Amino acid sequence: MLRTHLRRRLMVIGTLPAVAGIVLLVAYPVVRTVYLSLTSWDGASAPKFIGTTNFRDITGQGGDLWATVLRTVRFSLVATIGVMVIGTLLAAALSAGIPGARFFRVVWFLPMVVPVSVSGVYWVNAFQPTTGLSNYLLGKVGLGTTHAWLADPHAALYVTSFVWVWISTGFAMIIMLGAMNGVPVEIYEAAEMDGCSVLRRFFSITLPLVRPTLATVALLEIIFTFNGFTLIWAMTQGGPGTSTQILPVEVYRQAFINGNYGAASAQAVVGGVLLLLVSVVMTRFIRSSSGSGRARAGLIRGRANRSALAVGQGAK
Amino acid sequence: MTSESDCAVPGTAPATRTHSWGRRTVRRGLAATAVALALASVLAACGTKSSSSGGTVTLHVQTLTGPQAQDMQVMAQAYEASHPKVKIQIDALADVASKMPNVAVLNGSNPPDVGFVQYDGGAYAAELTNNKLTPLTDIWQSNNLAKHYGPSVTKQYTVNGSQYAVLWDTVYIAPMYYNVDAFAKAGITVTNHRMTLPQFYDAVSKLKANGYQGLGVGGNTSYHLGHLVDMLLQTAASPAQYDNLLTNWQSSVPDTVKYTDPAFVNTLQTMKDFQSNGVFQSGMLSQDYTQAEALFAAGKLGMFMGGTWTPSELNGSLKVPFKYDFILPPTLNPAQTAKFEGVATDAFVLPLKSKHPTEAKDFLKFVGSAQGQTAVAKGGLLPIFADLPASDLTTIGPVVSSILQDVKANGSAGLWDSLIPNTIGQPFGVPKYQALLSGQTSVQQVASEFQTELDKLRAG
Repeated sequence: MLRTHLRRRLMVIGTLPAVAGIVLLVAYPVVRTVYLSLTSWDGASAPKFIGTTNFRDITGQGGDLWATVLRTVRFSLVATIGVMVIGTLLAAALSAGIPGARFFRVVWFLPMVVPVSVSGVYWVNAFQPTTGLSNYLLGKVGLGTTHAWLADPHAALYVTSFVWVWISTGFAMIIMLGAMNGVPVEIYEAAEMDGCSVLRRFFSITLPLVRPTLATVALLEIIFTFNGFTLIWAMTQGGPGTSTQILPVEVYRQAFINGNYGAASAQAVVGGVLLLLVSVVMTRFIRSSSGSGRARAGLIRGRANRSALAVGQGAK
Repeated sequence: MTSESDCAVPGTAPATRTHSWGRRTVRRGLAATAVALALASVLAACGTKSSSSGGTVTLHVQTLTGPQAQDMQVMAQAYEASHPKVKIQIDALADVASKMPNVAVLNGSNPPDVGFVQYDGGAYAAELTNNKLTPLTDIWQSNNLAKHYGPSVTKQYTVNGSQYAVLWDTVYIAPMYYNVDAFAKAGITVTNHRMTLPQFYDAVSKLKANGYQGLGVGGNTSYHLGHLVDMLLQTAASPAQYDNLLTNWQSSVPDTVKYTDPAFVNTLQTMKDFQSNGVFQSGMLSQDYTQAEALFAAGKLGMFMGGTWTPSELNGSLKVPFKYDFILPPTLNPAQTAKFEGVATDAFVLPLKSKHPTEAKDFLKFVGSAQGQTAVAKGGLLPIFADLPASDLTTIGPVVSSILQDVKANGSAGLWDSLIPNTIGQPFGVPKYQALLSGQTSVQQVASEFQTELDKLRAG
């Protein structure tokens, strides 16, 4: 009895550092941000409680919160889809054992290792008219050398999305590669015996079986891109005008340039809630696809075994 | 760590032993926590910014990166030479970091001994409003700073009869430096450092015909387009209108000029015309000040819009291989003479929480002395003291000297978007100009947004 009591006490004491860490580093900042969103604060004085005024201001006429959210969603979708498609294809190529797979695994992961701000500065120069690499290459194929990609409000968001894809694809590729390597070889062997083409095997075996990992990586990418401040700040600082001003950039502007910490906190709260909703939906999807993935794996494995058996009997 | 008894089935091990093991572990845990906390405190103390050791005081002084940091190096050396017991540690900040983000640093538990603020950066106003600065009125009096700075700067920095900042340098915007060889090659002549609008357009087309791009501006920089608007507005408006635009954000001043009036609308339209007529370098909106400056230094641009700090960059790290001179931006009203716009924006303050207020004050006294201002000139910047002997200004170079002569001959004007509050100044304006130049909005829309903000300010 005493021993159980002591164990419980020890467990409580043992979890205290973790709880303290969560309270200090997660709960307190969240609660504080929510509180600040209800105040008027310039960063130096004591915050003054003003109720929901900040929320009314940022969502009402003159506040461009929804335009910013839409821009953020667009950036996030384009970048995430790009990362997922290219990352999965590269992982499939490496998993299939293309020549030089080890070399390519390292090379394709390298952009992930470079600091984001450095990548941003490199690509800003690469997209400059006449002097940039992108225009040089376009010029070589007769498409002109004077495109001012980042100065064009219609192109700038897609250019920054492209750079995000360049940076983050290696991450998705490595995770997907791990998942693909976990698919039992006998399934592919059986499918091959059944005469399935490479494409059919990819779409009917690989993709369904790695779907939970795919969904997890997608969720992570959505979160990363929603918070993709560093790249945008390094490349465009949200410009030209507001064409690349995603939510974290707008929060930074409000807080650290305009000195309006209350409105910045309100924007952060709205962004946080949206991201939370996306995460909940995605997590449910991951759970359901994880269950159906396991069932499908069992089904495919059963079919594979039957195929192998049939081949064995045929051989007899 | 686990022991066998801990892993044993409950009830099979002697309770007393387990109990004492648990107590010892808790005690050990507490002791380890205490040691860790003590170590953390010691480490934190080691990491504090201001330090005194062996009778030597290290003063942490904030400055900007770039030419300002080099200039501060010269100032620090001059000060340390006459104060062997003080060491100046320079904390260089990027332009953005010196503005609102600096509020948290100046009010933090470990602030610099001497803080750097820009008058229009927001941090100075926030610190003043919240009484976070030590008054420096005694330095102003002992060094007779009001006389050296002149009445308009004194008025700008006096709050309820007290002063809270000692100024570092002065800047004049926005000379358009031109490549003398390129101008000669294109057959462009400049008279008295000035051009009319048609002459300017003609010069740009001649430059282009000779393989140069026109005017370099850092469209992606937080202030550069603002400086262009400042200079164009100065001659688009009459002197009286311009004065009203500088002050009409205060409800006590009648707003005789609106942002929807022709002066401001014409300014915006002219900037938009510059863009449509290819006056700027290609991709201007995606380039910052340093990128545009580098293109100029590489001989690709005919002109580059800068300030009085630019020659120290062009002659310093960039080492331009050609001769350059300056013209003022074109006048929109030919009847008016374009003037340089001067601003005393770079200032040092003494945070209330400074660890060495006495030494920091002494350093600020040095900055606000003839000796300190000579060091400013030696470092390549333009001193705020207008009455330094010419012999102390030889280091600023011939182009900046020529700018000073122009200011003496024609006078100067106030810098509109730095003297009005931030909510309507550069942080508000520059993204609007970017949107205008990239076709996301119209001249009328921008003008009307400025007027709406002005009305809000006046309404309090």
